[in-house]
Amino acid sequence: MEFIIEYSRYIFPCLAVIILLGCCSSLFSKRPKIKTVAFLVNAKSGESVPVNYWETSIGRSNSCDIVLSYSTVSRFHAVISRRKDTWVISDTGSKTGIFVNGEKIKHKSKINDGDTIVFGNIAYYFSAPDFGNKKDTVYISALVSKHNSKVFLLEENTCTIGRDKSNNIYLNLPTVSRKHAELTFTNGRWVIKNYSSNGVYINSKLIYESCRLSDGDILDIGGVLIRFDEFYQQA
Amino acid sequence: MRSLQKIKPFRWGIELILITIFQLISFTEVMLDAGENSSKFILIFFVFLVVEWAYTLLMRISIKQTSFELEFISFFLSGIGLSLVATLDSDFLADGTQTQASYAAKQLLYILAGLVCFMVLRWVIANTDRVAALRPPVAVISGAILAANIVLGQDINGAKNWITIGGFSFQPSEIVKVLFIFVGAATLDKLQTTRSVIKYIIFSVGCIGALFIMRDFGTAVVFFVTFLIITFMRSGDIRTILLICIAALVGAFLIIFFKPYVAERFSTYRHIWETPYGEGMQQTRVLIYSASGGLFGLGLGQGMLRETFAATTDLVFGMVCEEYGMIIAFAIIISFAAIVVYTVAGAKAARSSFYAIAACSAAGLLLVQLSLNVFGVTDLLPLTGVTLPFISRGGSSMISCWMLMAFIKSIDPRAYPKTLKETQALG
Repeated sequence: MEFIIEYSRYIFPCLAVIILLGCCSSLFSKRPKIKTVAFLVNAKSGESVPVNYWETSIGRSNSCDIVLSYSTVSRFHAVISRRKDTWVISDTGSKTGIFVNGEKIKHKSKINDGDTIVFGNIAYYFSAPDFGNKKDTVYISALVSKHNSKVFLLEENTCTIGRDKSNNIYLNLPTVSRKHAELTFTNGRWVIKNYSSNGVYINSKLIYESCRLSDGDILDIGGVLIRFDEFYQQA
Repeated sequence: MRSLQKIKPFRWGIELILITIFQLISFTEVMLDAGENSSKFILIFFVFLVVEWAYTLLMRISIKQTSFELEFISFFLSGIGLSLVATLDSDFLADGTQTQASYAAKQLLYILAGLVCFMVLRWVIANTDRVAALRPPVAVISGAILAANIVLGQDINGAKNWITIGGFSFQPSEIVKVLFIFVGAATLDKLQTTRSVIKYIIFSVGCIGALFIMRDFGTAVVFFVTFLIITFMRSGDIRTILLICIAALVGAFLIIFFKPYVAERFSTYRHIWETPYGEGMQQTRVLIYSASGGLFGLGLGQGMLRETFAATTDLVFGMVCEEYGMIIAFAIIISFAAIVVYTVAGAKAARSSFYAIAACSAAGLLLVQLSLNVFGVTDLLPLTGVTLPFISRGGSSMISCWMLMAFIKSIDPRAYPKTLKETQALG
C-alpha cells in the first residue's frame, strides 16, 4: 500500500503533464488551415474572388468578408452559406436586392455551380465546381509549376529536383544545381532539403538546410517557381 | 499515392492508453485505501474505463473521427473527480455511515449522462437550420426553468437554486447556462439581418435577474461574463459593452445599498484568518492543506481537507492540491487556459458564426467558472460556491460541462471528417 502511494505520487504528475501537454499541443498543431471553398467570378472583368468560409458576408462595409465597393451595393448586402448538400444565399436587408439567374430572391435561395448572382447591378458567376461529388476523389501531394501549371504528383516518399537527368524533376537551367533539392515524406510531413550552394527560396525566404513544407508554399529553385499542394485533388 | 488519411493524425491511441494508466493507478490507490470495502468500487471504475474506450472506438469507427483532444481532457478531469469522490465514499464505508459507494456511483451516472448529452448536442448543432428553428422555443424553456426555480427552489447554503424531484436534487441554472449560449449564438445571415442585440439583452437581463433573486451570485457572474462575450461577438461594438458594464456596476452598487445582506455574504473575503474556526474555516483549511500536499501530493485518501464541509464540491481544488499535488492542480488550470486560447484562435475556421460564438462563450464560461472556484477557495476572490468544471461532485454541473464541450468541439473541422476533405479539395 505505502509502496504504491509513494511511487504513484511521482508518476501522477509526470503522466498528467504528458497527457495534458499532448492534448493541448495537438489542439494547436493539428488545426487545419482556412481553405477556399468556392469562388465568385466577376462576369465583366473575369476577376475571381475566393469564398473562404462556410458563411461569407458580402457588402460595401469593410467588416464584410467580401467587400464590394459599389454605390449600388448595400453595406451588408448578402450572406452566402454552405449547408450539408447545398449552397444558400440570403438577402440581409439590401436595398437593391439579389437576383439569382435573373430572378429576384425574397429572403433565401439555393444556388448552384454556374449560377449568375447580381448584387446591385454587379453580376458574378458562382463557382463551386466540385461540391457534392466527392466519392471518387483522391488527395495527393503535388508540385505545380507556376510557369505552365504542369503538375508533378509526389507518389513516392522521396523526390529529387535538379539539372541532372537522374532527378525526378529535371530542370535544365544553368541556375539550377545538378542535385538542387530533395523532398522527403517524414513523420507525416513533407520536408525539403537543400543540396545547392545557391540555396532554395521558400516563400521568398532563403534556406540552405531543411525546411518543413506547408500547403501552398512557393518554392524558388534557381528561379523556377513551384507551388507545393499538400492536398492536390485527383479524380 | 499520398492520400489525406496518411497525414499524421492525433495520437489518440497512445493518449487514451496514458489516460487509462493514470486512472488505473488512481483507482488502485482508492481501492487500497478502501481496504475490505474495495470490491464496492470495482464495477464503478470498470464501467468508467469501458465507457471512455467505447466512446472513442465508436466515434473512430462510425464517423472516422481523429480528433479526441477535448473529450480526452474531459475524461481525464472526470476521472480525477471520480477518484476523489470515491475516496470520500471509502471514508464513509469505513466508519459505517454508508453501506454502498453511493457518491461514486452517482458521479459515474452523471458522467454517463453528461457524455450522452454531449453527443446529442453535437448532433443537434451539426445542422444550423435546426439550430435556427430551435432557438425561440429554447429561449422560452430557459425562462420557464428559471421561473420554476424561483417558485419551487429550495434554499441550500444561502442560495435558492436547487430543485428536488423524486429524491434527486439538481441546479436548473447549470442547464440554463447551456441554453443561454444556445439562444445567444446565431448564424451570420441572422446576425446581419437583425443587427440589434436588444432582444438578447432583454433575455439576458431576465436570466441574470432571476439568479439574483435566487441569490446565486456566483452563477450570475458567470452568466454576466458569458453575456458580455456573446454581445461583443454579435455586435462587435465595444461601446455597447462599456455601457453594459457601467450599468451593471451601478446596479451592483444599488443592490448593495438597498439590500445590505448581499454584501454580508462576502464579509469574510480577505478576512478569513480572523475567523479560522468560523466563517473563514473553509478557505483557511484549503490554504493549509493545499500547502501540505506540496508538489506531488500526499496520495489519494491521505488528505485532511476531506473532513471539511463541501470538500468534494466547492473545495475540490484544495483536495486536488493536497492529494494529487500542486503540479497536477496547475496543469489542470493551464489546460483550461489552453482550451480558451485554442477556441479563440480556431474560431476563424469555424463553419458557422453560430459555432464561433458558442465555442468562445462556452470556453470563456468554463474559464470564469474555474477562476471563481480556484480564486474563491484561495481567498483571492469572494467565495461564491461555483463548481470546478468536471471535477466537483454533482450532476447538473457535470452535465452542463460536457454540453459546453460540445459547443467548443463544434469549431473543429476535424470533427466532421467528410466535409474536411471537401473543404481542402479547392485549396
